Amino acid sequence: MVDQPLPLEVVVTRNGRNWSALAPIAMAMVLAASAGASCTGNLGDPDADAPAGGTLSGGEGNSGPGGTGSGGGTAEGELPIETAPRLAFPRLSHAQWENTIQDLFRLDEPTGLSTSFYPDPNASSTFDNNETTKEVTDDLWADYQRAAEAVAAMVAGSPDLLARVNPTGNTDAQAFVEALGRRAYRRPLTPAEVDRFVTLFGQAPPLDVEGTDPFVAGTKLVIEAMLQSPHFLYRVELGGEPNEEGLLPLTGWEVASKLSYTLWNTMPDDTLLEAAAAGDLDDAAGVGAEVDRLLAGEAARGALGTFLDQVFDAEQFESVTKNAVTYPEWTDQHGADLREELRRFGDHVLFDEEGGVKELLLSRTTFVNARVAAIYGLEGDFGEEFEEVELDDNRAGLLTLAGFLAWKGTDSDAPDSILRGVFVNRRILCVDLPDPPDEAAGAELGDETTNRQKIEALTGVGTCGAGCHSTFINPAGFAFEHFDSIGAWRDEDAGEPIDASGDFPFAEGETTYTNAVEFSQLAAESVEAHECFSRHWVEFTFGRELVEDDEGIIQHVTDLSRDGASTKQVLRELLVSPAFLTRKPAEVQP
Amino acid sequence: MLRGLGGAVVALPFLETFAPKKAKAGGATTPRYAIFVRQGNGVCQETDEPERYWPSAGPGALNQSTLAADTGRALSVLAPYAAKLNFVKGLDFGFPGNGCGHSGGGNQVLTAATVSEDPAGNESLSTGESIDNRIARELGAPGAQEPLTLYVGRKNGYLDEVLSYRNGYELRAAENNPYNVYVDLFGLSNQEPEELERLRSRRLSVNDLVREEMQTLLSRGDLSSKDRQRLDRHFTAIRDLEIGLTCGLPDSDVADLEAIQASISDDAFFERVCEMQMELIALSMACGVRRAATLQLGNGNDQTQYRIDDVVQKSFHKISHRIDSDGAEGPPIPDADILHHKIDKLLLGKFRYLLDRLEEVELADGTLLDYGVTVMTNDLGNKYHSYSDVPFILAGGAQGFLRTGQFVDAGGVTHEKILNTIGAAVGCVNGAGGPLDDFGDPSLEGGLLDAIVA
Repeated sequence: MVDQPLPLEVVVTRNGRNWSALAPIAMAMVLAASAGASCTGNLGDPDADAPAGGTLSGGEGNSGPGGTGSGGGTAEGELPIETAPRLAFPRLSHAQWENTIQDLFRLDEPTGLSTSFYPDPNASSTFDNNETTKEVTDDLWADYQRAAEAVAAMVAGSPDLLARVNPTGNTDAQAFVEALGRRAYRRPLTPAEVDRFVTLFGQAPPLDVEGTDPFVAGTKLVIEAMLQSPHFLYRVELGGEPNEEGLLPLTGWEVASKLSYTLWNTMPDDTLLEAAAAGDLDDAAGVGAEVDRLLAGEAARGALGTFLDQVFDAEQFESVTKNAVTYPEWTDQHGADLREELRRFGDHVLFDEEGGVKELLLSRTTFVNARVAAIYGLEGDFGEEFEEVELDDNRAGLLTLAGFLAWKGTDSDAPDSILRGVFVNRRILCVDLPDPPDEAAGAELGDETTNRQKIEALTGVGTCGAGCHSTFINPAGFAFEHFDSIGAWRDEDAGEPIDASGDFPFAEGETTYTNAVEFSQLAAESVEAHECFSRHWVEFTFGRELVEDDEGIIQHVTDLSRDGASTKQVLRELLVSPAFLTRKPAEVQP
Repeated sequence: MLRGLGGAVVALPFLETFAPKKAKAGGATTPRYAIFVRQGNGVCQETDEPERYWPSAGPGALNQSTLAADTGRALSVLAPYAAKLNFVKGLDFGFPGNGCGHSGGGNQVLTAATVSEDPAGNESLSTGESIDNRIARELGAPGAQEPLTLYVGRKNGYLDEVLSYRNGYELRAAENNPYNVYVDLFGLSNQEPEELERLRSRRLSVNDLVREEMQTLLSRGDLSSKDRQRLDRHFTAIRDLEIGLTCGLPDSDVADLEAIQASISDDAFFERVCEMQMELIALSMACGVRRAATLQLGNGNDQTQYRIDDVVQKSFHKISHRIDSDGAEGPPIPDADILHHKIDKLLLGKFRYLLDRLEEVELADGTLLDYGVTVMTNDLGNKYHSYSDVPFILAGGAQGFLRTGQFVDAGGVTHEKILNTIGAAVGCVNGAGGPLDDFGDPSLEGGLLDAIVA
């Protein structure tokens, strides 16, 4: 087989549009033909059909929170903020069900019942809150039924717990139904609904164990039914009357639920429900005030803390194993430690420091216990508890944390530079790389001296892997060559000095760096990283896969992020936008 | 007898109610079923490495003693069942994957449908229904029209369940906790009759109220088709409790299931959890609560670290590609081909455990194994993500529908034929009422695999 250099157009996604660079690629012709080895990607054309949308809200809305705000028309060259089709009946996730039960009944701790729920399928998306995959199937319905019965028996059977949802001790069925129903349905019940539950309440005594107190029997059966109701299990978002743009602004009650489940992953608290009742959520200013309050709450740290965990697939950290001969210090606990470090790092940057993308990619403040400190070579007296530390200037941000580096490391001492590079491209820069061709599976590295030399010999310029590897994957991966398979610093590889330099084709031009810190600095300034995190946040907060209509809001928050907006500011902008607060009528949905 | 979870042979409660049925009706009324066990990462068959999977002798009739002596080939593990087996090679998937060999194989193996263009790569989906779903919805009694969809091992968000599709693009999640499976299927088996009657009445009252609410929502004229479909599915899932035959396990076995919950993601417990899932599948088929089941061994690119020769090995995915990386390139793993062969044997040994459980249930006209089709397959042919020569190992003849005791080379036909054959064997029909022969993508040839039809 003769390798021939070919000028191959490499197409990647930039700013929601295709971007091309002419790269000198050497490629084995046979494989190029059979495997389609070019790097191409397409996230849709944002300039395509532009259905009714709104501009960003600014506090002057007159048609509900999703109405046109004071931002005026769309400036030339900007993408309009549009409302994408979405479900009117997104189902609670299992975590949301658990949190909601705890808050609805004011329990001291979660029931744990959701751990037995039939799992939702592994979604084709970065995050586990994808509403399109969450349905009430036969098996899950049975789980809901059993759990509702267990919760009802627990609450109704305990005078203390019953008093928490019926603090006045009033044994009037209608009062109980109205009070619990307002919180279970996250809105006041209609008169017909109240009648139905009061009737059910009255049917309860003969259906319970003989001698059961009628009020206890009634509350038990009502709780069983409410927890199986579609109005409990779904976050119903039908919206109100159409606004002037033909969109349906969510009602204040619906907004309360949507904000609460997005930012706290649970039902609205009493303050939020009161705000909805008072009409405070009927305009963007009121919504913004509640967004600020929720973002400042402790629960936001927990709910949003899963964001980086999922961007990094950090659950997989806990499956990482290392060769016991090479790394005798590696324990089964290390993966969990490094996952916890990532969580604390993100929490500190996003909440304590109120930082954004730049800070995520450059901060040297992290949190270590003794095991993690040892990886970083930190001196001091560390124990099991995590402590805040500053890392040395060989490291900067998320990509030099040991969790990522160890996860993308082989079982031996070699870093898995290719997988590091693939991750950086796909998850940090949103470069749409194809998977390797099946024919490449199991390609063994050769006997060159250093890890970089081995990889370049197999996949670099002049090989069949050059199309994606030499342009995108390898440069991004080699930037981290100073970090070994567990993320510890190394100066040499097989006796030779480490070469962590490279050129990466950022949108603003081919850019050169000499190490991971410089690479992270370039990424932190790049449009790619800011847009990529904007995409992740839109997907995360909207709870579904991205569609073409999302490009406008993505562009908007990307611009804010590049101008220095914090992640909190980006989130606020997303949650007060018409894209979040309105829905398209069913007749224009697929 | 069905073996208990603790390993001892016990008199299971279900047999007491099952026995009269057997005596009265015999085979004709005992439901036929299909079980699909899926191994990942291909098998160690001939490539640039020697053949270590298919028998040395054949194709042709299987001989128990010859097969048992053929220890260099993985399928020798199944020798005790030689007379009831079909080893079928020469079956190919009909369509290419879309960027990820493992995902594309998982998408196709039980669907014979194309792989989605979008999503792509390891997120790709099947565009069609899977055969377990078809069997369950077509043949299942009311309340049992869902297939049993089980899984063994860790889930970590990367290529977890891949097998069972309700429709195109609608992947069904798989349950990896055997205790949850038991509670879902047999949780009421220890209730007293008066308790059950009270429960039935309460549930009826609640269901009536919830149905009324659902119908109010469904009567709205402003629902999108997707919302309506979701609510419809929810509505039909609501079932009233019917008190009839109940099956269950002794308390001690239920306690074993409950105890292992904390370890279901621990590779050290993989084999035991696998056995428990198999016991529950056997119980489900014996009691007639399900007509189809899948059991996925490990995640999409099975990363389980199996214990071979008393050593916990590198992940099966790495071994299957012979390199110390989950990527396409990496340092070689010594003797990885032999380790792969031993993993093939280990997993076939688990398959035999399932056959043992089915064989232990004696019915009027043979054993439970004889009443259905129990399949061991793979979503790849070999270490190269190949979609050719994907192994299909069938046990049981579905009450004589299949000819058994043979090793067959189908000659490179697409595999919808074997899915049709299995579906037809357990009673599925085509649009004209004849044996199912048109499952899968319409562009495929269709038809049955005549060589294994009696």
